[in-house]
Amino acid sequence: MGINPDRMQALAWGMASAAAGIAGALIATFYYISPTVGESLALIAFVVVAFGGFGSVPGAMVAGLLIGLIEATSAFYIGPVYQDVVVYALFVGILWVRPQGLMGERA
Amino acid sequence: MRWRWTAVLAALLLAPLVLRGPFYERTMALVLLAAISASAWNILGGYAGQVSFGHAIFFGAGAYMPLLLYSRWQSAPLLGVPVGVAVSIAIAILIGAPTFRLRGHYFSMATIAVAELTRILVSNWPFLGAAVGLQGPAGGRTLWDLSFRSSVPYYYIFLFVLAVLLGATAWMEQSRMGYYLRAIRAGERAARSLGVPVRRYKLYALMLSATFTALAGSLYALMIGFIDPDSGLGILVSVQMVIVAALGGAGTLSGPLLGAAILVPLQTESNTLFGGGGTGLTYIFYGAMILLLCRFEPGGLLELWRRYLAPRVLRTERIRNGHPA
Repeated sequence: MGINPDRMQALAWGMASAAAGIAGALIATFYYISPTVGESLALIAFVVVAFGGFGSVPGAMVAGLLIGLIEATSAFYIGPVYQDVVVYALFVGILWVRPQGLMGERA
Repeated sequence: MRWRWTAVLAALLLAPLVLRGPFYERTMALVLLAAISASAWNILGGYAGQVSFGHAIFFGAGAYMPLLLYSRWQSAPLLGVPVGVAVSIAIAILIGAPTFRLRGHYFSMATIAVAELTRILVSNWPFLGAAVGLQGPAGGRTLWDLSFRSSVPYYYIFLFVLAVLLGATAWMEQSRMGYYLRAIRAGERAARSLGVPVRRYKLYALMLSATFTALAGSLYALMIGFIDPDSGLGILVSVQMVIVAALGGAGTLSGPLLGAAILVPLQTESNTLFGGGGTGLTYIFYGAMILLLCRFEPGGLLELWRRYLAPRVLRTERIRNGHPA
């Protein structure tokens, strides 16, 4: 239909990388930086998107705020080492109960 | 085909008699170990096309249980092997049951999440040795401890397990399950519409794969006699299985063996060349390997061989393997 899929994928890839780069620049102002700092953040980003629902912008927004709050409270009440554990466990829980996420369409 | 495998088996049986010395013996044993775990990964990631980046969790379950039984209750580490297998099958069901209802990246990501979750939990759980890890028997008390100074006994144990695993995989290739798994890889929706019980067979493949990955972990723990969260559950453990299988050729019987025979000696060689300062090099090497494979030859080295050196074998083999012709 005249859409060039390679071009569109490259564009989406570029835009996504740029947005992640901006997020990195912003987070660097108050977070520690190390060569592997992106590893856990990337996985958490996936959890956020899965929680909000793939392809849903408001879903990612709401889920991002929720996950951030959950991380902070669990770090406070359970212990800082376990904050990622709580988020990953939540992710597996979501897959069990509501795989389409908060606002996503049924996969 | 059969005489080729017989030749490989004979060569592997005789190899320790030709290449002597602790360094070669140890390297060869590690090659077989990598081949076992990559072949186990291959059942699910290769044949069924469900790429797991968290197989370390099964490896870790298999590696921790024998040493846990030994260090807590002084029992023979061997008794922990079935426990490790049982634990990893339970984990396989826990991950597979929800994610195999979905298509796409869910399964891959869930495997990473569960593996990382477990790694952090184990790192902070003193019962499992926390970040320090667990140790096996320093010397064998009886033969049942399977604690040998030389690597040769391990080599033959690994060879036996690998032969059983490859035999089971070869049998599976020809059975109904093999056809189902290849159909799932080629197109899940199409397979479902043809009446393939997709979810059930993906779960079977995961359970089979988890069983042998746990065995590989147990064998590793028995040989090395030490396990900690990074060597048992680290992401590099998972990535190594993927790379070894993909380098040789995922979804083929001999691919993982070929990949292990190339990658493991390269790795030991780079470790000896660059010493302790070169530990990060393994990561760089793996990263470069992933990039090159994705860009130039997703089918692995076997595919390369088929395409350029055996164009006549190509057509029949590809069709038999369920690749789109």
